[in-house]
Amino acid sequence: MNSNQEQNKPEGCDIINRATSGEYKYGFTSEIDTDIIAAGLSEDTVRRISELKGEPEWLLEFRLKAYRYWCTLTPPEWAHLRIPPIDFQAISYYAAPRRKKAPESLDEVDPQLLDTFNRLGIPLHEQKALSGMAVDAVMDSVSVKTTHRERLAEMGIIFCSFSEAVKEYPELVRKYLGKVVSYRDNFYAALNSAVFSDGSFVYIPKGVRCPMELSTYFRINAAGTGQFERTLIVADDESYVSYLEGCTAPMRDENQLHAAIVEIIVEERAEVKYSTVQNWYAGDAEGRGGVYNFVTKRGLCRGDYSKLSWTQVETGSAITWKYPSCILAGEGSVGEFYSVAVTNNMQQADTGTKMIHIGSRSRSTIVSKGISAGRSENSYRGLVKVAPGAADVRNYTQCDSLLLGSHCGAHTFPEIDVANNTAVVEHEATTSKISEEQIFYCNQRGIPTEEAVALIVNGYAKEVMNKLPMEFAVEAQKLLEITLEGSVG
Amino acid sequence: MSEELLKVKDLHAGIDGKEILRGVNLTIRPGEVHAIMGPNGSGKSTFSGVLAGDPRFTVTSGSAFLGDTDLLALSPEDRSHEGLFLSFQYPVEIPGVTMVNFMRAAVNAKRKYLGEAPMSAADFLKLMRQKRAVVELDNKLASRSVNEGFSGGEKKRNEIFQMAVLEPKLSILDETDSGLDIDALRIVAGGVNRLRNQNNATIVITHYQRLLDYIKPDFVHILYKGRIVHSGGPELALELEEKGYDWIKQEVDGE
Amino acid sequence: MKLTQALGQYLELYRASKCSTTGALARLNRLAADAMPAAIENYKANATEPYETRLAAMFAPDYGVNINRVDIPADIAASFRCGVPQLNSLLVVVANDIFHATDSLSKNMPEGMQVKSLRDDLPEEAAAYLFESIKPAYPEVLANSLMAHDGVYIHVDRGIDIEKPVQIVNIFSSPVAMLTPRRVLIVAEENSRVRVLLCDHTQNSDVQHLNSQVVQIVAKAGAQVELYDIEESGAATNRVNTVFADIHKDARLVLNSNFLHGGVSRNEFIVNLEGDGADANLSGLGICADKQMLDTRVTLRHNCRHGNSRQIFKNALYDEARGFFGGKIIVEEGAEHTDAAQTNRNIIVSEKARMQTSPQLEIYCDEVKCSHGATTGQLDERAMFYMQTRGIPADEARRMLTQAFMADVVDNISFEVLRQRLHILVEKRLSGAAGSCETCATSCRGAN
Repeated sequence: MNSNQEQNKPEGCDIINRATSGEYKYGFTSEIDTDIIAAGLSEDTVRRISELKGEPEWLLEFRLKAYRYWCTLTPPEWAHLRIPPIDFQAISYYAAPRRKKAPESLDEVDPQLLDTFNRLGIPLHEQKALSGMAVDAVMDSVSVKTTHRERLAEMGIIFCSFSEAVKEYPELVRKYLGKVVSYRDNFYAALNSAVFSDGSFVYIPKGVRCPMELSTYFRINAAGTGQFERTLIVADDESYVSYLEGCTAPMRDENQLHAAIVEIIVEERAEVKYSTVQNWYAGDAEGRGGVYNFVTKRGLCRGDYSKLSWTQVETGSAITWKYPSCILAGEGSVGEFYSVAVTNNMQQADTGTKMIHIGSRSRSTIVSKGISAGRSENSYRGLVKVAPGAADVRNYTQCDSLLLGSHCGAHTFPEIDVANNTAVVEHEATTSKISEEQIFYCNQRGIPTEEAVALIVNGYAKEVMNKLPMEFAVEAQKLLEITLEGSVG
Repeated sequence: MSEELLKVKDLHAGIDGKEILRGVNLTIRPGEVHAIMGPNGSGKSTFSGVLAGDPRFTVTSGSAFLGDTDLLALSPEDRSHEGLFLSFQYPVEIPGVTMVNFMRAAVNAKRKYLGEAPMSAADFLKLMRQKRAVVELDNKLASRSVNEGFSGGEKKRNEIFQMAVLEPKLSILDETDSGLDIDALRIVAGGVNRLRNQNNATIVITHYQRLLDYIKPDFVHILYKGRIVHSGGPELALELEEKGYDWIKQEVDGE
Repeated sequence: MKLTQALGQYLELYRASKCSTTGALARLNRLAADAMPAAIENYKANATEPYETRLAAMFAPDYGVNINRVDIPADIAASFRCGVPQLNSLLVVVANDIFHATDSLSKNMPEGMQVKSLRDDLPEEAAAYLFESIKPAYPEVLANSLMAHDGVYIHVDRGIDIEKPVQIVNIFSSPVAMLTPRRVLIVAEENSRVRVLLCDHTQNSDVQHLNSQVVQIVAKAGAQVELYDIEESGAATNRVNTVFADIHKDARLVLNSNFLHGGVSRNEFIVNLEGDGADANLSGLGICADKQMLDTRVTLRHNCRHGNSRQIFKNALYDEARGFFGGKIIVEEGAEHTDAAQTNRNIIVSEKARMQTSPQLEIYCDEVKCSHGATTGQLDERAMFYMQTRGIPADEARRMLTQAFMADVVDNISFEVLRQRLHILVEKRLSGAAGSCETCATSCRGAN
């Protein structure tokens, strides 16, 4: 746990409201005036987004290159997923809460919008947010408000919306944009690069330990829109930052597309901790609606002895397709991936990581816990690669699947590619059913089955949950319980 | 042939660039038993590892001669052939390699080094049988994989059994007493004593006086912060047992 | 080269030449020819599989096919000195792809057993099994089926337990580059037992060979089939081997595959546990050096209740050798009480060797116990040092540890004569002693 966290959890810092029933609690729609551009994707759409955002020429060029490349691609089919055809022309690629100019203070923020975030439990009022957490809230496509900026600025930390970063720190953005995830990386990365609307930008200067958790909160609100945000985090030499990401969406019958990119650059001896609690709307029990979560997340551990740690708790989305990865280029660099992925009802998840070892003495650890219930399909997919010149590399992978119910699927697809005779790479995987003895033992002690399942599943996922910052851990635990309600018995 | 069996001069060594031995000097003559004692982390196991050629450690300066042989210039196996034996603190488990095959390989490699013909199967089995008696080692252990599934006591007895078979000039017993109950300790120490003679020597590395009740040392050395900071007769061990290591620390650290 | 060209050349050859086969084999050839174009069209190589063992690469060279059945002399006596001697077996020699029954075979044939050429009259049931191998997912099997004009048929009657193993010695001998399509069909009736040992040898090792082999195994209720395979061929002999096994109620399969020497060897094992209580025990080892390449793929499908499967595959890679292991366990919906475990362990000895592993679990049922483990690394350094302190030279210590590493695969073999022999073969291969047979191209080498 980080030392800069408060021991007592103050009110109002819940990233996700405490939930008491199995229904999706974040499924309300906010009545907010929204600027939506007409559905459809063309060069004109791309130009229009860039124009709306008042972007410089080089960024428009970047978008257009990505768009033209995207036109040559077809959606990837290799994942263990059944993805219904997506009509990319039926999506609106830009939706922004309507406003005349950027809000100077919270008083200028649309009260309805503030209310939305309050209902979600996101503290935009800084005086209320004593939790030591700075929040950037992204509604549909646009960053609404970033808190604690002044305090961070004093330390030289930049934490702002991507659009602001483009205006205020164009050299930094230009230097790093697309350097870890190229627009040519894959179909959805190309799409995002063409139409991304906003997101968060973080820069931690040399030698600075960011004193609070930085957090971005994403919400899709408007109907018929997609969300395409980009996050770019740069941790300069010997710096440290812990970054949290949370997401929700309203319940809608149609599917919503979320295709984000996260790029992280970690310099010498710097450390970045990136935690996600993903709770996009998963669709109903029959599989109607829900978010398609197609995300490309990758970090480059460029500096020697740099460290990047991904922790994710995936409970939402109708379909999840994401592989937060580490390119371990620096000597002695460290990559970690801790994941809990829960699927219930008709959900599908194909998630995992890639650890690319290029630097000598680089190390990586992968711990993946999959839990499948209902008629869902849950896959771990991973790659551990050791380049010929990378000496004394170590990797350990533990990959477990838990099945709750006889109609779900749990799959494991790891790839291990070792081209160096000093590497030691170990992979262990198990698949099992929740133990009936354990449930019976709980029952006998008076614990109802549903509670017992939650108890056992939480114990099973503990190794990963422990990696989450405290504020997130409690909520994530609740989410697990909610997601699995009604899955047994 | 010099008078000294082992002569270590100003030996400096470390691991991963961190210096652990900071100038060890030690001379041992045939027939002697030397005890090396010291608090945890003083460099005792590094010293034994360096003498045996453990690749984890790097020697940065100094010398170590076994008789006229420059130990530091030899591979671990040639050091063994020259008569150095290390009884490991944590004997290594080797699944799939039986004790018989393991010892036959060891014995014949040494014979080859000395220009002798390999031992016949019958002679070898006789030798094994004979040496097993030294430490009352069960016949069944011979057909099992090296140290795999052995109890703590069995592992240490197995070390002394190997020592009996290889008949070294210099034996280093690295914390042979750790994890042993009194009965096992007595058997192990009895084995060591039976193998002592006027031509060989033993280094006993230990944390406690207890083992020295059974294997009587001629000299006791205290290793602290990578140097031998005190040497004396057997009485030094008793003094340590009584007073602990704090007075040594104070003396060295000057507090 | 594309798969269309690589396999298309053989399809053209088949169409252009007059078919020399009759009966079931002729029908097999025809079925394959019909199925081939669509199979090629639909085939997608896995993006991560090594280029060298992709079908398009393996079938690309312009191999000759002995479609006109020219008699190519093979020195059967020379080869017989090789392999596993002192084995009291029922010996069959397959010279290239032609079945040769030996005297010992006809004299010693046990009651209730048949070992004969696929050219002989086949019962309808056996022919039907052959035709079942025509599956669009396996173009390599279609290529074999297209050109197959001989093979070995082994049948054991109900309740018959054949202690004596059938030993099939495959000899490759040709003055020109050649593709030899080889087939084996093993049918074990209810509660019977049969053991089969396959050995591959090359007689003129400088000529390129492609050994295209398809083995089909049917183990009916309560039957036990054991198939052992020792590959010890020349460096210019490549192999594409596919084994299909259907294991019915309470039946048992033992499959053991050993690569001691050869060129590029691709082996695919497709095992279906079809009846409740079916059991499969798969194992294999590979010692690869120079530019050798061993590619092992397993698809083990649990389609029954109380099925049990164990897999252990180990490789040691020297020089510029490459290894690939793709192991898939599929547990179908309803396959309750499945117990499946898979282990793949590899040692990379030399700087330029490379190992790729892709173990996969696909599970659609909750009453299961499944696991897989894969490691790629080196010999235990502590064990190396310990042995050296006991005076064992580094090279010998390394050899002993590598042999110990392979030991549990060999010990897993219940067929005692073979187990002992294989221990020796592995030791020889690792210690660089010359093989006992001159015909075999094994230029055994030391463990560096």
